[in-house]
Amino acid sequence: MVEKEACELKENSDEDLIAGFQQGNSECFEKLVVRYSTPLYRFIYRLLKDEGESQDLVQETFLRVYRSSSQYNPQYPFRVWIYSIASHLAVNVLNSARRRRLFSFWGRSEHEQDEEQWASPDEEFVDPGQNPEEEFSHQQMCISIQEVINKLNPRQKLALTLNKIEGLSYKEIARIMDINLSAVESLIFRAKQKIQQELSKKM
Amino acid sequence: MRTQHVTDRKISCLLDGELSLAEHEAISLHLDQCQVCREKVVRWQRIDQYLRHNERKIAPPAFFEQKILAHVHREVATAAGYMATGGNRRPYLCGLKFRFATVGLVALGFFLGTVMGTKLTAFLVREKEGIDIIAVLSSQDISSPSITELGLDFINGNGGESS
Repeated sequence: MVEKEACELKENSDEDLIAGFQQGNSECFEKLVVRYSTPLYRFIYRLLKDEGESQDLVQETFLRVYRSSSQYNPQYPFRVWIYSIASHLAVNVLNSARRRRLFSFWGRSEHEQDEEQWASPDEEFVDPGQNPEEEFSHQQMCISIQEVINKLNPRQKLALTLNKIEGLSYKEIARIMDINLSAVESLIFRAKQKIQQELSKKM
Repeated sequence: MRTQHVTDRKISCLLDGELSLAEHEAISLHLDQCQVCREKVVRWQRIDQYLRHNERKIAPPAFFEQKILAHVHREVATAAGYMATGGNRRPYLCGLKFRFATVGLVALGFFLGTVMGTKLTAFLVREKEGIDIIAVLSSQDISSPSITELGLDFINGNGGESS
């Protein structure tokens, strides 16, 4: 009861929620699910481009949080820990998809077709504030960038997504990916360099 | 005096806010004077803008949170059920492990059947030959030659005196 109240009082802090859950308050876990399910889904979807797989991985991430909450180290933010779990799961899927593509007997795998489908113009890229010409050019550029991102290796894609989309710092990314700061810097720079090269070709 | 141009890597870090204060100040100072580097910064900024623009429109499916909670509770309950009953637990050898174990056992059986079988046959044959030789030897009357037969009578002290 006391733990429950404590959890309610400090509901803004992830660390307090996980501490409350560690003490046996399942309501704290539910709050973490409410808080992180959408960001995690977006994050994983950005990497995998597969709705079903993304849903499964988010569920698996929360299951691991539930089962191994005792392993959480309070020295680091909870966000880093949960993204670390989700990242490892997503990179495993990306790597196995890559291997499947590599060993695919046929030239075009299902995954490649999916990528093409997602690279096609859709409402996601439309900016209604621009004139049609600018809008078209902008859409084309976004498609090109999306194509380049889809072709990045899983680690570059992960580092770029964590930094640019999730807004995590290099230090947090280093912790999530279990690498040093310089490696994170290098991964993000190379990913952006590839996009830059693609942009230069198109312009 | 103008310093060297800022590298692309440094510009990338600058835009990500990952430079130390000293580096940030030095580069800002250089950018005030260098048109080439300012243009580079604009090019790199454009990438960041495109990357951010591509985001924030994906929504998870309806009742996603409830689905997650239901999934977690189901999995935990199932695991708890296994722990409680013990009998429903998956056997240690199942799925892929079972297949590997079966293949391993068959291979071992084949190995033992062929290699060890051949060796056993050879051993039995040798044993049989050995038994035959002993039987032949035991059937013959083999006795050691006598001293007289060997011409060693002198050992008994009567050598050469007997005429």
